[in-house]
Amino acid sequence: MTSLYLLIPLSLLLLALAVWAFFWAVNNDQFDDLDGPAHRILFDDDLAEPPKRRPGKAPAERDEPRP
Amino acid sequence: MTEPCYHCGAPVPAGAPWTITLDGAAKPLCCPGCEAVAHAIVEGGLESYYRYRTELSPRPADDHAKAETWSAFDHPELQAQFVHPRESDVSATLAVENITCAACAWLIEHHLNALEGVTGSAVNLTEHRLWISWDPAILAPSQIFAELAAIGYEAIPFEPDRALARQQREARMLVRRLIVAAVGMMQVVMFSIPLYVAGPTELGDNFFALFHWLSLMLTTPVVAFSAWPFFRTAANALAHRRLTMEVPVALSLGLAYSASVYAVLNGQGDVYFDSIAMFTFFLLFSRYIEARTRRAGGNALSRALPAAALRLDDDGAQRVVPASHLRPDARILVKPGATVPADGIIEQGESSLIESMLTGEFLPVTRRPGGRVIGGSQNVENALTVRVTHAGRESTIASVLDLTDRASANRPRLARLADAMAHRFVLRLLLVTLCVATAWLFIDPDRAFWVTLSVLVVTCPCALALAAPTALATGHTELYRRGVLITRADALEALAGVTRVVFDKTGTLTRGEMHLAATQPLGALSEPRARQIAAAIEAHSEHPIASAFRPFLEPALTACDVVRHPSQGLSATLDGERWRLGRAAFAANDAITPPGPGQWLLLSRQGADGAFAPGAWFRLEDTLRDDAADTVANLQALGIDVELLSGDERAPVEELANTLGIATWQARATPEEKLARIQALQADGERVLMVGDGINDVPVLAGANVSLAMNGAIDLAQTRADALLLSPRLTRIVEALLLARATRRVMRQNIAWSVAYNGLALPLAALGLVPPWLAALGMSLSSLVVVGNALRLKRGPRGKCQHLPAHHWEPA
Repeated sequence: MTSLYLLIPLSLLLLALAVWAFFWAVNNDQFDDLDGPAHRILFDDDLAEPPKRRPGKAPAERDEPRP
Repeated sequence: MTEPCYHCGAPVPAGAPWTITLDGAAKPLCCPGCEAVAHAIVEGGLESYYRYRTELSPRPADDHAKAETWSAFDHPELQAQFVHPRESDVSATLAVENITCAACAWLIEHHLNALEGVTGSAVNLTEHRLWISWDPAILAPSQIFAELAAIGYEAIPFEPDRALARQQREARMLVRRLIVAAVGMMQVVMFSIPLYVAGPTELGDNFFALFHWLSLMLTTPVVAFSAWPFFRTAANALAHRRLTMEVPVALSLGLAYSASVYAVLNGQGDVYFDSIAMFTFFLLFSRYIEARTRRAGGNALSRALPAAALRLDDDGAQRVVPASHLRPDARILVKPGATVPADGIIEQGESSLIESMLTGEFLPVTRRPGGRVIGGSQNVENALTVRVTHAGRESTIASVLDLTDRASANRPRLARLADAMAHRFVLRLLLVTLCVATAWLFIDPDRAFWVTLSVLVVTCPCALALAAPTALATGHTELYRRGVLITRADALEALAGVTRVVFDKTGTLTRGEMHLAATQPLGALSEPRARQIAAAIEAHSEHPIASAFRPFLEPALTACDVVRHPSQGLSATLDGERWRLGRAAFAANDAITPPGPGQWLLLSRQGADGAFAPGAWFRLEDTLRDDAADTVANLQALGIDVELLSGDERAPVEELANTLGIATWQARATPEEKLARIQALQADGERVLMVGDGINDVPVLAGANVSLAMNGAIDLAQTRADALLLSPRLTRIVEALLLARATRRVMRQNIAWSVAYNGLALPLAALGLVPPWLAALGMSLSSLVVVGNALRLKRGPRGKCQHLPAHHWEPA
């Protein structure tokens, strides 16, 4: 029974950790889109070759200053 | 019929030169727009998109006028509104249109991530939003918008309004409360099990006290944080001298908690921490499920009005300013193809405007100086100088959207009924509990407290309170998923009882897209030649009529010097000859009459004497929707009568009715006649669903038991309709009716179940046969049964995504 004196604080620690982890997830938008990831996992299997980085095309006559 | 466009599924014009090569096989495409998008996708190495997609891609919009709007987003003042600086880069959230399935999210992310300067991107599939971060030194926002347009998606900066931000904050708070309750409950029950399992002497006094103190410690945050909303709402209700379902909840939680704390401090008596934690968790869980089924994104205002405007200042300069900065009396320039940024009066210029945002009418209307323009409408032909009268929140379109919000804020009749019921129910419940408590004080004062507590907990009318809302919320979400948006709270219930569907217009069964039904050459011009010439001229027009001629476009034949005459027609030069195409009076300068009923256009050629001689007649007709026949047949198979009430001429209505197998129809019906007909049907006990485009028939729509407006444009009339069909597919009406019936069935089951449960549990608890923990479990289970039953609606009659075999390809 004495092992409880170690296990109980340990379980409380884990509990606090779990709550913290969940709160972190909520704050980081992890609960905002619950539909997308379910589909997304089906996609990313094997692209023949990773797409190359390419420069963006500027739309015609862009003369506004950049930030 | 030839193979449909590989990208968007539209019919491909004969001899069209546009193709995309996939796995060595050339696939036909219907237009240069689709070709550009398909090539951008494949050249980016993202052709797997076509393998992943479960819905056809939308046809890309003509975007030559858009490039200018995008460059406005580079303007520092406008950027400040939606671009948020981060440590080494900047980020923004965009609302993206045309996302049809998960493959779109994949395509967008991969396409953008391959772009130099993009540091991260994530698509939220639920709310159709894109979060993107980029290096401002390499990329300008306009380039991102251009890249999205290149693969066929239209994006605008997303700015959540206050209501939406609050809704999101509340949703997150609920998740946090739920998590605390869940974790607390698990651990409290863990500490309670030894107390239940161990015999009276097996557990030492030390451990007994320890477990009690631990339970107290863990339950306190559950009560103080997770259960807080119940206490607050209960106090609120009592302050207004009302009894809601939260009152007994707060009462039982408060009583049980104080009694348990008292027991722990005194070292004797029963503790109910496990019951408290479980009760809280299950209540919150039901609420969470209910809230999730109800959540829907909204960014409608910023979608309706453009973000930037071109302001004409007094010094004669044109300045790009955020549309939200416009004030009444400012003068703005609206270029052809651009969207009007605010309500106003035309000072200079004459042009056609498409006001479908407001009216649902896709045919442009002509406006002259002194005429009013409405923010959100699209300018078709000529530049206009407009003096602003109402901008931003004051604009017409904003008030329309307010209307929609108000409609969705109304509670359905059943929910109001449930509220009223809850008040009486709770009152009786509290009286019964009081009687039980008094009785037990005489029978056995030791057991009086927990029996009272059990009665209070077990009879909590949560299941009853959840019975209707969960079913309705799930029904609404599931309908929305299928493209039917309910705007009036009672509409779902009314849909379930429908016995007759009345199509209000021929236009509801057709696509609103013109096609060429007949060509009648006059004189030497051959039929195909006449069509080609007309197609070449109309290729320069964005008028809906132009789409009728698109299939006959001959790439070698081009018209030049095209002049648009608003509401009249077009004139152009082809092979050195001057042609006109449009209304008879315009094309031939002559009172020539069309050869028959219907909508006719005249093509004419300028002769040597300068007069235009008629060349050919074209009759235009609306295209029947692909699934119109199926829909009518399915409705009839469900035992629902189908009727067509149209204001159109007799001949086309009769033909349409015969084609679709509609036995009851009426042509040339005025709105008064339509309303009278509906009232006659209702007098016979029929319940009528009116399907219309909802524009000029507001009284008719209002007269029906339930009304459904077609097509996705947001407009005033649609907000009067009880439901909107956002999907272009008519068969969704059948699905909506089936789902409404299923929802009603589930709602009745739920109410029956919760009444039966309470009827059974109350006497058992009053007799002292139910300990509090069992009461908490029973109450929670009854609520979960109700929620679970409602969730069954999610598994509708058909799957979410349907694969499209005709457009599906496998890699070699």
